[in-house]
Amino acid sequence: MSIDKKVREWQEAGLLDEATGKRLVDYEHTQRAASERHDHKPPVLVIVGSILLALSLFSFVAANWQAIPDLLKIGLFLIFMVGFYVFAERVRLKTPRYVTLLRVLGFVFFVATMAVIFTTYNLSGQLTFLFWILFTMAVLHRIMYEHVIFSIISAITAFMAVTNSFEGIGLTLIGFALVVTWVWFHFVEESLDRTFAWLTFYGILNIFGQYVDYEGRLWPLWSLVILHALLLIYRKRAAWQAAYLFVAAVLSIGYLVNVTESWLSQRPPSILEATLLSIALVAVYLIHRRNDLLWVSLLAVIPFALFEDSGVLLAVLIEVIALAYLVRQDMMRQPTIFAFIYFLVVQMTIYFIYVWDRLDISLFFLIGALIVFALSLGLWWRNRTRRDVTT
Amino acid sequence: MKRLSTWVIPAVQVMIAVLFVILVFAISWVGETYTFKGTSYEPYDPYFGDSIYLEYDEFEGRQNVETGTVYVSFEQGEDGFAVIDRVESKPFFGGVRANYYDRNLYIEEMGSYRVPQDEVDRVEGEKSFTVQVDVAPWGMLRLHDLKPIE
Repeated sequence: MSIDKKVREWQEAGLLDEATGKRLVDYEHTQRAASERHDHKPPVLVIVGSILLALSLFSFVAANWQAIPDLLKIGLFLIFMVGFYVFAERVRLKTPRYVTLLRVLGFVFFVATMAVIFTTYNLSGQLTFLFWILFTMAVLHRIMYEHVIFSIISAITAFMAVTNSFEGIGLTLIGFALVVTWVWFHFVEESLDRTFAWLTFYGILNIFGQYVDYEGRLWPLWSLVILHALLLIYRKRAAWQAAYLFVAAVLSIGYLVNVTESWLSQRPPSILEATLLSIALVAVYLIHRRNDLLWVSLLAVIPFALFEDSGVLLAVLIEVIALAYLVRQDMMRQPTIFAFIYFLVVQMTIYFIYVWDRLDISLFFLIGALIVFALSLGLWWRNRTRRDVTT
Repeated sequence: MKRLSTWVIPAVQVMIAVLFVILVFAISWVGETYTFKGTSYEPYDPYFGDSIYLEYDEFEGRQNVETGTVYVSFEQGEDGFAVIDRVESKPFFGGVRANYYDRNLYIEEMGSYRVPQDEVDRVEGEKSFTVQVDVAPWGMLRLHDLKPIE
């Protein structure tokens, strides 16, 4: 041992007394023993060997997949799934950065397990149910493990569940979906989650309209009115409430396109329904009195504009509203970016509907560019004069 | 408590998987068994896979529902084969999910039959069969005992 030799050499030279030398030697020995225990690395050959073994196991299983009994297949996937969650708990204290990855893998293996069950037993009739179960589990992950990645996974599963539910969903499943979405909405207070949960609510309400065979075109507007009930309970001003504006903007464009598409079977709505809906839209504003959500209530013009089926009336109204929104945002010194985008989308839609066939394409772009230029010039001028005033 | 709550998710997921497997087995325990006559386009050849695609005469014909997703239930006819009892657009207790278009009903689960190893010899080269179908009250079904009609 080199340290022993050195210490003896220092002692002989009179640099160290005997007791200190002994303490030094003892200390070095315990340190070395501890570090050897700690740095116990498997030899490279063992690593390569175990990788090869794992690969051969995988290929063996894959090659004999058909011959493996069904229950054993499902069991294998379940073991992998539980394994990932156990592994996540094991490394939680030592290397926390892998925990979420392992939990996501656990969820992925849950999806895989269900896929194996559904394909081996041919359960395609229960697919809608499965999507809502996956959504439920994703929401549960979000609540228990509190990581934002599970918000994204929940949103993806919610989207798949909603889009797969328009045909063949029963009342029980609609109720179940509503409860799970409410749990997501209520217990996770992040605006990101609430926005996604809100959109899921909106999707489920539209599915409900499909379920009851609602006649007519106004159901998406009714869904939006119904969702204002959330504002009564969750009063605190928050970013998720912008979802009302977003959906209102999408709906206004959607109805504008819809009213001009003469190939769709268009039946004007009943006067009674149009009146009720317009009153409801104004009423929700009068109840919540939120100035930033006033613009949602302006959708009240849509039911009556649908009676005029060339769509010109609706186009003019939406154009005026879009411009008023832009000007108002600017005057109140709110961010104008979304108002600006909405205004542009409205322009594009109107051009595509009315002018596309009659106009040379270069002229179309020229006029569009001129409008955008004029607008941005106006905004810039406003900002400049305002800055002059303040300075 | 914290330690326990982290195991809720894997436990629930294992339970869901087990529940579905139990539901599949329960189809045969509690479900009604019906006999269907089915035909395939061409004689079964194990070389092209372990599934055989079946069509059913009983599912042809006009039904009094809109096209799209529908729900059907069956009853036993006088000749011992299953006949359609009820077809509706909305789910109902005991109804199996199906598709209705071109005056034909299609039940996806009944569209193909996975031939087990020990049945291959019996089924090979045949085109028309009888098949037993267990239908559970919760709308799942399961095919078994595919036999060629002599």
